[in-house]
Amino acid sequence: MNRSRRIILGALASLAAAPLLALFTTTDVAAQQQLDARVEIAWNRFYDFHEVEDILKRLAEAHPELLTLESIGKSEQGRDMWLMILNNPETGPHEEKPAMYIEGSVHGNEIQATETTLYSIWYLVTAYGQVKPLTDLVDRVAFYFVPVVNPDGRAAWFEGPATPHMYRSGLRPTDVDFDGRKDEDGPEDLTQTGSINVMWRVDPHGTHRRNPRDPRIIERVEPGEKGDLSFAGWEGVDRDGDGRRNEDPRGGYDMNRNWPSDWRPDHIQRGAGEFPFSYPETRSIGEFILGRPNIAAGQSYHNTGGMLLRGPGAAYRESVYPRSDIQVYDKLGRAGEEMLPFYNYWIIHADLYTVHGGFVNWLAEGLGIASFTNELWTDRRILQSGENPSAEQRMRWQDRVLFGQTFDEWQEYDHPELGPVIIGGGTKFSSRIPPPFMLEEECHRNFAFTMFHAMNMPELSFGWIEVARAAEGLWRITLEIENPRIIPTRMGIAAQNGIGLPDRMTVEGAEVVASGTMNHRFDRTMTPVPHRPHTIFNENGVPGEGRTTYRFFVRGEEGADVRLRYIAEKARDIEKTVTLREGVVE
Amino acid sequence: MLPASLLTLSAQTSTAQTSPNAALRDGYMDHDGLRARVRALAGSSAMCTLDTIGESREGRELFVLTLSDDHTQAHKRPALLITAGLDGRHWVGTETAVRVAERLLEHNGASLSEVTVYVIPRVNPDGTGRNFGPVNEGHIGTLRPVDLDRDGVANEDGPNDLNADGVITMMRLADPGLAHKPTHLPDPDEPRLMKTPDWAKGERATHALFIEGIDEDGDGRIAEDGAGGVDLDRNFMHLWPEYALDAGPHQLSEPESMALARFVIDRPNITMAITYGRHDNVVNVPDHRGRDINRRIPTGIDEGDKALFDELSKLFKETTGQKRAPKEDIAGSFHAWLYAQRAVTSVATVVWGRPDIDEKKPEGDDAKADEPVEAAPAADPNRVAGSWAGSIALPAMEGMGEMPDSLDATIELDTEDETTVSGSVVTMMGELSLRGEREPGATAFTLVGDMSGAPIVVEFNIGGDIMRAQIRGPFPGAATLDATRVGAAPGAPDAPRAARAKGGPSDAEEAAWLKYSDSRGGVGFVEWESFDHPQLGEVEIGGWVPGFKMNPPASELDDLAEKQADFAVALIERRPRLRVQGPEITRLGPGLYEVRLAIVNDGWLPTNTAMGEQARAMLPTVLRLTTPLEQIVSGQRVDRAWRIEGFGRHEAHWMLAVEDGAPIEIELLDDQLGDMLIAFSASETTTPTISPLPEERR
Repeated sequence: MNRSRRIILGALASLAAAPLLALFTTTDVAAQQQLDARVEIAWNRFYDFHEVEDILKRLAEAHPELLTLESIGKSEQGRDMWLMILNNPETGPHEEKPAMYIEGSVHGNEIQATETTLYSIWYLVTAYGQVKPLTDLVDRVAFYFVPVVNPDGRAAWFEGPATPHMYRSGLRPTDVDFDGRKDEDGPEDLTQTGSINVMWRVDPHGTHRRNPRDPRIIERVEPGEKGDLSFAGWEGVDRDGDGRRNEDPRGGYDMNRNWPSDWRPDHIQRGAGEFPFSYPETRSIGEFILGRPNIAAGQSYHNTGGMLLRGPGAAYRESVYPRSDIQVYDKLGRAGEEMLPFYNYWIIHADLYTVHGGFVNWLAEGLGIASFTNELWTDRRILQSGENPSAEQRMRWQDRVLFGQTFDEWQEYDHPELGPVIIGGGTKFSSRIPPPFMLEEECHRNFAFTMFHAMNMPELSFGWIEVARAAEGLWRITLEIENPRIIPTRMGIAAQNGIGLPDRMTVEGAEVVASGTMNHRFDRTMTPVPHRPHTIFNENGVPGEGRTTYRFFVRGEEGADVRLRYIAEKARDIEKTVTLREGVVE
Repeated sequence: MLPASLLTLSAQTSTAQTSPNAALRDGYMDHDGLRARVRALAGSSAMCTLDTIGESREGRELFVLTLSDDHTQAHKRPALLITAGLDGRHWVGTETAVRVAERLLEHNGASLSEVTVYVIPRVNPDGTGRNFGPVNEGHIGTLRPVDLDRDGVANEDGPNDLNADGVITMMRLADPGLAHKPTHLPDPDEPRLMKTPDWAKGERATHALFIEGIDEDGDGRIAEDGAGGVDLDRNFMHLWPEYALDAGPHQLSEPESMALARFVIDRPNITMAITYGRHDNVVNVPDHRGRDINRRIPTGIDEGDKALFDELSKLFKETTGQKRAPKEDIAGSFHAWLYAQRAVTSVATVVWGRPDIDEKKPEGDDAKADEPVEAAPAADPNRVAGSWAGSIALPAMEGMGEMPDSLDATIELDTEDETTVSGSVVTMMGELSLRGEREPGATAFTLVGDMSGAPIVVEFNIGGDIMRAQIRGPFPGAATLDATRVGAAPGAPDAPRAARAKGGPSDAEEAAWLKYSDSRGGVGFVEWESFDHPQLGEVEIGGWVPGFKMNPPASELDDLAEKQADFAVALIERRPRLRVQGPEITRLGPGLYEVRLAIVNDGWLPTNTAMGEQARAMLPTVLRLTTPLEQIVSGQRVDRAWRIEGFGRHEAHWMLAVEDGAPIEIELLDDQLGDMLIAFSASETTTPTISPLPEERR
């Protein structure tokens, strides 16, 4: 039960509205899990790009003590790349804290990734001061949120007709079919329903027919039987007259294949682009992340399939992941499976498909950041049984639970190239995304997993410290640095490949004559540091849920103070003053 | 000929004539000299314009000369790109590029009405400028600050010119005591060269080696964190070495490499390229069997391009007479990117190789060491055998100040039997012996070597297995090298490096260079001289002058450039050329016509390499028929030719249901060779007209 009555002085000063203040400073309501929000946002609907911008601005204005909104670049079509920094400056600048980078919608059609990211910002700032674990988390770490990595794709999905699968790409015009023209033949909403549906051609030798019990369902005929329909692709005509339909739609690349680690050219990895960071969206994010070595955890929200994915993206990169890193991922991923019913903790290349140059692969393998991609929503949630619904069950769900809102009835259409066809089927909302009434749960459970991930970013403290007199005026200091969190200060992948800087344990304020690392406090001997003994470089960092042990021999008068510091890129640096006097330091 | 005033300018930029550095640089252009010369060139001919493709990190211009008789049409014509000066030590490349431009303008103006030549003479003016400053330290890359020793401070412990001779060489310390481990001894056959001991011959290490300098940051290492930099020829996309510090934080991380890549991407008319630098693919033709770890990308050239490169090699050797070139790891290099990902016929040459000094030896014999070694047959994945080589990058090594911050090395492993492997890591400083045993049934070896080292990760092939290994440290003394199998290499691995010659100095190549330096009055090698080092005590300073092995005497530059210009002209003459053959019209009946057309390549070179055809990075030759689809009875309305062989042709065939005499048009697109409009009519007696395709119909 959370009964802490936390008062944030910095926030008080910045707030003028008294009723809001009253709500903010009491936690009685929090005990009922009813959080009072400064910004009311409905989490049972999706937001187009302008609405997303509006929500971000409202949040930043209502929570100036925690949120900073900035644009880190422009998309191909000139939309802002919004970055929200969540940090409590009262507990230190964000650059000095371990930070989690959270993004959504690098694929413009995977829309709920943005709502999940927005929900995370909203929930954190709303819970701050009302919910102790999240208040503690916000006071300890920083967050960088990019809710829309592909603003153009999202804008296009909302603005016009689309399938559930299109505008995955950004919108740089691209000649996908090598005819010298760009984006000249995409699908079209011939039936003016607001969605790009599918077309079935009337065909006396058809491979499919209508289901006799529910003629809206089109099913494959048994071998030997004759159908009357054949699949004719997405709704559209052959606009450039080359004999093919929809072969060169807008865009035509994949910004989740445009990152440096294991990047491969287009003929190996379709959609890779001409070089890593060749798109303004990926470049602005790449530059931002390269300048933030304090990022210790990463999450890139996608849809769909109900997966918590980790790298590697290709089989031959398995050896890049040391066993210690896999243990970290396993602990986090298995916790996530429990928090996210019907989700699977999987490995990208082994359980999904091979990805070269993927984003979380760059974070994990290029930068040593513990990272996941959550594939939001799974059809296994329709029946809430873990089973995928059959076609008929799905139709009943969309009739009875969704009241038919995601299905466009079949319409006969006289197609200029195909002759008589029927056009209809699922709308752009019909798959990959949850129905609005389930969106909030989807947001919350994924948010909760990601917070579990964030809470397990490294946190350092001094453990046992012993000062002993080695000789007259010579002191032996033995100390432990502890990290109770799951993620180490240096992922094994970083230590093995020399990514970033090693941790440093230093002693200041006294002459250090020798130092070394020990296996544990009872170790009889130490591995000495050959030069500059006041600094011990620690390539492997402090392990998760573990500790490291150091020993220094320093010269000094009894009663003199020395300063111990532990410096790590992905954890908050810690300092402690120790007096040269025999005993165990509390 | 070069105007006398420019010669004077070049001479003025050199430092005092007495220093070894001045002797080597004499007659080479620094950045000001280059600027003056390219400006003069652009001012001297209407067929030459001078632009920049961008700026270096420190704001120096990245020049490009465009040679064409019509600068409004230059980007629409097939182009040859000449690039030089990616490596800060390769001054001969820049000199050659500018001279080749001068010669093309002077003697080959006629071809510039059909072909455009772009010349980018120095991509890395910052790194080059550093070597042209008071001290030549052999700087390779750009000047991005890099914390090479990863201690939180960048560039704090570079080399120091202790003996004030204007070059950074080496220091050797005899009987180093316990503070430093002896690793080398003077080669008994050539005591100026240092080698690692051969226990079997009773040799014992007597010296420690260091780069010339002092330990400025007190970490016990000397010159381990100098001016940093990213090697531009390791910063491109093809096989980019991800974890190597000198390859950059990501591909195209440098303003220089980005400007160069953008220039190429924005000019799809570039169809041929020559890169003057430390790489070569024409004296030694790259292997056509090696594939990368993903098995899908050639590490050398695609098998389908072998004949092309064999012929280019023949042509190059005939034209230039060059017979010797070193082999360098191409991972991340510019020329390999052009070939592997931009569909460019990409030639790389070092311009100048080590001359023969020993007159008695037949030339062919001596050159053998540099010829491609017969590649081994496809390996049996279950067998570990042979002597295989791969490339490894060594980061700075703990406790040994002498190691350069990063360098390429080969690891050679020999199988003694099924379970024992021995080998060596060969670096420019010598070699490290490795020995290991395989556990029964395992494909992994643990190799134990005698070295002091920080973690080193190596990837290499053993018997077709791709191995990933890590040498763990830091601890002085014995380090272990744990090798684990990460996958099987398809086909044969890279051609192994030639085994070291036995007898005589342990490194025959080094000895030959020394002999050549002696023949030039010792210009390339600083003789060992005693020096009182503030930290090490009595040492000797000496060794190779940086850049010596890459750059000839300036007196040879004109002659070399003449030959390179001949090769460039030969390449231009052999360029692919498209011609339309036909159309031939047959009237099959009223309103039904058969149309046959061929696109003929009258050039010797194919319109696309086999690699480019696979990579599909470029627009193919596109034929777009304007006749509506419903009137096309057979044939594609949009027809594509990904590759037309030299002297080959691509045939197109349509049946059209059109009215007699109806106009028919074909839009031919080709980014490299130019667009055309072919117009005729549905009639057996039609006279086709071929004209440039109007821009708006592109």
